[in-house]
Amino acid sequence: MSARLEVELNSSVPVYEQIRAQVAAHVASGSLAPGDRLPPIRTLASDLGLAPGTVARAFRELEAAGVVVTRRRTGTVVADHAQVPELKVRRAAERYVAEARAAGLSDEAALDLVRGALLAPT
Amino acid sequence: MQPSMFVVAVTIGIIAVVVATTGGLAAAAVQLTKRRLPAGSQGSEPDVLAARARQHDRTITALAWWWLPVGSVAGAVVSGIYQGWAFNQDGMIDGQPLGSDLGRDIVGWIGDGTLGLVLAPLVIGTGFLAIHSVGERTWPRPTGSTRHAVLEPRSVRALVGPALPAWGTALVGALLAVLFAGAIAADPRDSTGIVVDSCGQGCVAGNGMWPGAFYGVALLVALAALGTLTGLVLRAIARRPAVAGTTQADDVTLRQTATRRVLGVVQLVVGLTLAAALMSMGDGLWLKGRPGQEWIDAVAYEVPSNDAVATLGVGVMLLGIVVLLASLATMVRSIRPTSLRTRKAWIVMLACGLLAALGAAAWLMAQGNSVEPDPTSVVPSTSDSSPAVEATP
Repeated sequence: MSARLEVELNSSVPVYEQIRAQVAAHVASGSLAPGDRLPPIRTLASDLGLAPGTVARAFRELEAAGVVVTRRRTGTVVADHAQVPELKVRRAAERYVAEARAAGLSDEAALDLVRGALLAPT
Repeated sequence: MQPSMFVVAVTIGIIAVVVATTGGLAAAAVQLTKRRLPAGSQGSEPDVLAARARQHDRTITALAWWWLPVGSVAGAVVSGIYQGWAFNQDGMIDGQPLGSDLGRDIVGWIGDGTLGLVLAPLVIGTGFLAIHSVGERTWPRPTGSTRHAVLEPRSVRALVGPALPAWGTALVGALLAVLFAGAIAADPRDSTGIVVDSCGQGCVAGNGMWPGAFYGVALLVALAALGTLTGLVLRAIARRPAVAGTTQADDVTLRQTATRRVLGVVQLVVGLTLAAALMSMGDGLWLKGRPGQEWIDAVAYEVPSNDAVATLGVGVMLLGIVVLLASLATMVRSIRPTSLRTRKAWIVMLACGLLAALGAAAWLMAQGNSVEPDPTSVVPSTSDSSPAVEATP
């Protein structure tokens, strides 16, 4: 199944940041593998009904973070050296999401739990 | 009123009628294909967006299909009027020219009107693509506060598939080969390929439809325009926003349907042009193989005259018929009319096309019969339905 993007225009999070975060999340989860091509900026902007500059900014941020690279002939692709967590960590994240949804937690509440766990002293 | 003014006025009037008719048909098509949204706009947002996108697609499709018969009829009528007028401009009766200096200049520049007929399929196909181009560029943009997209590039190549481009490329290659061969075989003394033999004062030669440089250059320009517009439309189809509320598979299917529709018509108009070029070349070769055909002797100057050439001409004409039938079959296959509603629309469309063709043929015959050349001064062409013209010494 292809990776999907969903942006909320009324969110307090800037749209370019939503795109950046979701692409980075797809790379981290393995939905996008190194070498996978992303749509051209104009196509993605057209699909989302956004200005091309908004998508271009998200792609620039991703490139600066080393998640994607832009090549002249192939366009924007997931970087070969993009940091993809180990399989067992990804599986643990998937199990957590499944349990959180089974417990009736919203996505935001599930994220709050993770943030809380990250803030806790180790 | 001067004849040239009359022709301009009639042509403008016909164009105005065609534009009004096309607009009216488009409006009627929109009304006929419109399906009301459930309870106005009270459906969910994706439903409303999807309905808008499908409505837009139906409108553009209906308008583009209507253009094919309407454009054909308009082209035939304008060409028929022009041919009748051009004959009067170029003809000579009792040594006196029938037309004005301006009229003869126009006829000298664009010929007797057969060029319009030769270009008609490609021009009508270009109009079809232009309508689709406008439709793709005005495709409904996403609205609402939540937007979705798939992180996967869409390429034209993935939508097109291998079969139709291969067939289309073969047609274009064959057309280029025929035009090249026609230009090589034509009389090198005359770059137009129409008026043919410098046989002195008073000698009369016919004009004909040998696919030489006169038609070939214009066809190449029209072919280039068609190819460029095809690429732009296919790219626009690949890049347009996805229809809201549909799955990715359905979205790909919608794009593939639009792509096949466009390529089906493009290969049809190229196939029609190739078939016409083959049939005119075959007709010329067949005539060349028989003695006493002054017109084709001069046009196909480099071609020898013997029975083998005549047989080859028959074979080339048959090949043209095969290309014509294959292009029609490919178009029908490419659009795959599955629903009863679509089949009914196709039957109506074909009936309209048949009526249009019969009407155009009747009109052209009436034009041809309206001015009878004086047999004492003008020798009609022995091989072509086009009116004979006096050769320039």
